[in-house]
Order: sequence, then C-alpha cells, then structure tokens
Amino acid sequence: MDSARGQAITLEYVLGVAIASILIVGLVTTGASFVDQQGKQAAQAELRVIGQQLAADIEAVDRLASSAEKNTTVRIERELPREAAGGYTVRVLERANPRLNLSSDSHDVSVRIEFSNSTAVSGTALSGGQVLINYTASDELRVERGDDQ
Amino acid sequence: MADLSGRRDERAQILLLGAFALAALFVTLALILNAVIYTENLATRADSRTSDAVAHSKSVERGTVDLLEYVNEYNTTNYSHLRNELGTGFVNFTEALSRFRLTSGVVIGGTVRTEFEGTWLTQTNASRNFTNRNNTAVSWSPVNGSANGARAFRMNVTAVSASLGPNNFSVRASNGTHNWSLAVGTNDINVTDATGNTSQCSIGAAPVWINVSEGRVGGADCAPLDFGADLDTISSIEFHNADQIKGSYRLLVNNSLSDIDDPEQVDFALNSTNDGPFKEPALYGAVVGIEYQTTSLLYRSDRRVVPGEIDG
Repeated sequence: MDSARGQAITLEYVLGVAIASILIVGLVTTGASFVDQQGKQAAQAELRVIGQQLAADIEAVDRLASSAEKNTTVRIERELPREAAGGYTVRVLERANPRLNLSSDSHDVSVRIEFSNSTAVSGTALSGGQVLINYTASDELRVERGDDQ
Repeated sequence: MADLSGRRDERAQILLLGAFALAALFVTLALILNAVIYTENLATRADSRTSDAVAHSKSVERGTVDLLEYVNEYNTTNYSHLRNELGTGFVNFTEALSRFRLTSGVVIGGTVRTEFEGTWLTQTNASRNFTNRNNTAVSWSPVNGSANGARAFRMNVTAVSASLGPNNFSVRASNGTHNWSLAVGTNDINVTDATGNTSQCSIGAAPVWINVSEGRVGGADCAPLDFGADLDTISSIEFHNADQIKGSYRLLVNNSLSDIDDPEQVDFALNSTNDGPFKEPALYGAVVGIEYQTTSLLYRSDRRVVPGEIDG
C-alpha cells in the first residue's frame, strides 16, 4: 500500500482531532461573541424603547400642564417591563435640560434619552414596574415609583 | 476521523458536541431577538391619551360659553338666579358627557368654581339718542374706570347727524393709559387703535347694525373694527357727542351691578325700560373645574371661560 506510506494511524487520529477541535472552537467562539454583541444591541434597543416611552409620557404631562391654567393636577401611570435588558435602572438627570439615563444591570450598556419640556423635572431611580409621572401645584414634574413596588 | 476503537458508530463526537453548542447559541440568539421584537412592538402602539383630555376640556369650555350666552339672554333677574341657571346647566351637560365617555372607560367630572358678575348696559329705544338716562350729558361715561373688561358691544344705529369731524359721535375705551376709539359719521366709521393708527370703513344708510366686538358693519366685515384691540383690559368707556346719533345698543361689562356708581340713576335706570339706558345683571364669565380620568391618566384643571376670549 504505497499510498499509506509515512502515515501512522495515531498520527492520523491526532491530526483529525486537532483540526476538528480548531474548527469547532473557532465556530463556537465566533458564535458566542456574535450572540454577545447581539445581546448588547438588543439590550440597547430595549432600553431605548423604554426610555422613549417614559420620555413621551413626561412630555405628555408637560404639554397638559402647560395647556392648563391653574389648580392643575396631571398624573400618568405607565407599566414598564421589569426584566428587559437583563434588569435595568432609569435615572432622571435633573438639570436645565433634563434627560433620562437608562443602564442595564447585566450588560455594559447605557442609553441617554433627551426630551423637551417647559416645567422642571425631578425623579428617583427606577427599575421598571409601575411608574408615576406627577404634576401638582408645586409646578414641578416628578417621576417616581408606583404603589406596586 | 481515524477509527482507533474499531467501532464505527462512535466517530465524530467532537463535531456533535460542537454542533450542539452552536445550536444552543442560535436558540439564545432567537430569544434575544424575540425580546427586541416585543419592545419594538411596544414602541409602535398608538397613544392618544393626552389629546382626548385636551379635547374634553375644550368641549367643556365650549359648552360653558354657550351656557353663559343662554343664561345672559333669558330671565336675567338677579345674580343668584343667573348662578343657579349656570350651575344647573353645567351639571346637566357634564352628566350627558359623562354617560357618553363612560362607554370608553373614561370618568369625567366638573364643577363651576366662580362666576364673574357682570352688567348689561342696554338701550332699547331705537329713536333715542345715546345720552345718559336724564338726558343731561352729551359726553358721559357709561363705564367709569372700575371695570375689568367689556364685550358683546353692538349698536343698531337709526340716525347719524354729523359726518366725520370734530362733532361726530365717538366711543372711547381705555385701560387707564391707552385709548381705543370709534367715531361714527354719516358715511364712515373711523377706528383709532391703542397705538394711534386710524382706519376707516364705510357704512350704508341708517338704520345699520355696528357690531363693535365682532367687527361687522351692516353685516359686512370691517377688519379694523375690533373692540378694545391691543388694550390689556377695558376699564372705562366714554361716549362723546352722544346727541349726534340715535339708536339702540347693548354691551356687557365685567363689573358687578352694585359697583357701577350711579345711586340716583342719573346714567342708567335699574329696571328694564323702553325709554333710556338701563342696566341688568349678567354673568361676564366663569371659572370651571375640569376632571378627566382613565386607567392611566388623571387630569384636573381650572379654566377661565369668557365668551369671545377663545376661538372656535
């Protein structure tokens, strides 16, 4: 058998296992990093949607408060998903041009959502569930947790 | 792969393990993408909650405007009667609205918080001139500085004896600092706004209606005619050369009947008469409380309603 000269069965086996291992490890590593990247992008998309919903509610309360005249109370309740992006935290950055900052608890991802408003905004840190956006006689708009937390 | 054991059914185990790991990765990927689809779906849901609340408060305003116009036209005997009429009407239409809104899961409420007492200043005798009740003053002040607004001013002019010039009849509205005036001549009217600009509109032969608040003369639009334009409020109204014009007129002043200082009834009679000018109680406007509640939105607010102050 001239075609099998210089080949030991053991060598053939080792080479086969090595090539297969390299191939599989390569595929799994690439796939894992792809899934991880997709996971981050997904978390970012989810946080952006949640942030934009909250920002839309804040703007809605702001619009109603500015269209009214006096003795005005406006309150909007919003049920935000609790487990999105592997758990997350929403913070209201109180400043002249306020914005929302949402960060994921399990991915290294954070999103900043800007909104336009005419009344001052303040708020506590939230992590999903029922959220209240309150405007009362103090002429300030407050983002806070609902009763079910 | 080489077969060391000689058992052919145990070959390619690494490939199998690898394929299993990759399958698990793809299942994870599908779960992740599913979560994204869910939140993207949340983002595209229609949200018209606030526009409904605004539409509701506008309809309450419109309804209150119509109610005020109704109560000011019929049976204006005294303020408590007017208040009762307004309150009853408001409750009735709020209940009707409430039944209509309940079908879509919305609870509404409302109340009249305050009414602004006003006074109709009226002359119904179309052949009388515009002097005061005793006919002693050709230049006089129907409203003398204590008012906080006037609206619904219209005149039915049956005769004008002077053309535009120093002798014509004129109305001057003032906020204490600036004046707005309207001069009525035989052929034209002359409007001088608060900044001193003058404009004219022609009037047809008497009798002719001049609706000072709505800016119409004889049924045609007269753009410059806009009662008290550019004045923040109207605190006094003066008539000059009131003997140069004849006809009837009516205007509503934001001033309680008792605040118009005329105890001897020199300028106005206290009861409806077809002789000279008289005054009657009316409601100039009101503040209404509006409440609109859905499962996720609560909206409460007070609104000032004065007919003529809001658009359509």
